[in-house]
Amino acid sequence: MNKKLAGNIIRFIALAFAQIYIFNKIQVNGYINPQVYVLFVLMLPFEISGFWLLSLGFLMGLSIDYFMHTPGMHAAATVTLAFLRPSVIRLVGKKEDVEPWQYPNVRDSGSLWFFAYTLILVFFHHLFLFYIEVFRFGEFFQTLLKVLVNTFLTSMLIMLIQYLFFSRKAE
Amino acid sequence: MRNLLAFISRYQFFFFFLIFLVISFILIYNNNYYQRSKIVSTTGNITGKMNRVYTNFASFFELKKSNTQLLEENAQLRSLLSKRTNTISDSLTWLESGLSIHYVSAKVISNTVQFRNNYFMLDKGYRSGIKKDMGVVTHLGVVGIIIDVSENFSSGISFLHKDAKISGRIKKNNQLVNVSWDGKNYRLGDISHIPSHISILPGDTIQTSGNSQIFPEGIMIGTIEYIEDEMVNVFKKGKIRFSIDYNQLMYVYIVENSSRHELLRLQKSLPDE
Repeated sequence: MNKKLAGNIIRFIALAFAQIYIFNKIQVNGYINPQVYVLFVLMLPFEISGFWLLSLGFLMGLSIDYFMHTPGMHAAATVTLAFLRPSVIRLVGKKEDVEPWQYPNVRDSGSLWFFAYTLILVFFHHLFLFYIEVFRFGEFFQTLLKVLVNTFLTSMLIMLIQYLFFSRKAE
Repeated sequence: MRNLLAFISRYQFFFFFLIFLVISFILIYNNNYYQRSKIVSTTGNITGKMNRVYTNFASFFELKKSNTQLLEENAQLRSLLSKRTNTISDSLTWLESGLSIHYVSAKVISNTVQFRNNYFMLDKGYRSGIKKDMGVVTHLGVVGIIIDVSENFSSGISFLHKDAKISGRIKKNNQLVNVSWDGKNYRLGDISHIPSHISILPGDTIQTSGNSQIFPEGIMIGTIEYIEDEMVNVFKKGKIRFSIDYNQLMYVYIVENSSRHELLRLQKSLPDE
């Protein structure tokens, strides 16, 4: 159990750093800005209690906020993602008999399941995030394009990370 | 009461969500850039130190480019200096420089261009005499305004921000214009409030007007990219190409205008209409 807990803590730190120092440096024409750190919330265990799911999501968003100097923005979007997660898991099809500490990933859940799960949640996260950032509807279509492009990109990067780090058999 | 408690415990997930969301929105609401000081000055030192480590590492790969930039700037300053010594006998120039403007050099340790509202961080804080509302420039043009200062770091909004509006001046005929940014291409800004009888052409230079006392007068903002032709309006508008590539910021100067407070005080004492 401690090993699984450590895994989550390592993911938290690694994804926060990767977001701040790698993915935030990717930028083409101001449109592209993938938010890969949400993978942390996506990979929390199935059986996690609602309170912990929300507060960990909040904490993750807040950490990114403090580095980006955007207090509250990422926190609000990530809490929303955490709130929608149980519903999306039910929607995509909940697995029966999950072991304690089992978490969504490509190996156990299957590529298609995980991709659908990622795509839906990342879309809502980005929708929330980019509209809060702009905070007005004058730039509606410009922001929508940004949401769609980045949803696609973030999901692709998350799948890539899944295949690179989580696709081999458990030790 | 018991029903209420049962209701809350049944939908506790939703209530927790609401609580966290409200906290986030309070944070966002207070994110109005004049009220963010607490957050940056408490976390600024930690995140600032980490950002500095990263920038030190990343700037190693840019050494050659920044060297040439500094050389260019040196040459520019030398030519300015030679002009100055020629006119030293003129007492008027001494009076002018009595409105003293000091420059403090700083290194950019974090900077963004991809958001609607972009911020940068510099490695100088109130220890070096940096204060809120000071202007930031490079030898190429205007960068932004300091909005918050901690002991060793300061943060500012760049021109690429919803709230950044700078009053500019067309160099060739001294007409005042407004410059802002629409959030699309970080190389292009919006220029508005050009009276329609004024002749303005692509390639014309826009400088700071010096009215705000944040930036000294005559610092380059950019050149006109194109002017939209609208015959109906009293004012023309267009696009301006910033003289600075915000994505390449490395070394900047913070402008300290010591006569600013005097001017602000004078403005305050004027009777309101």
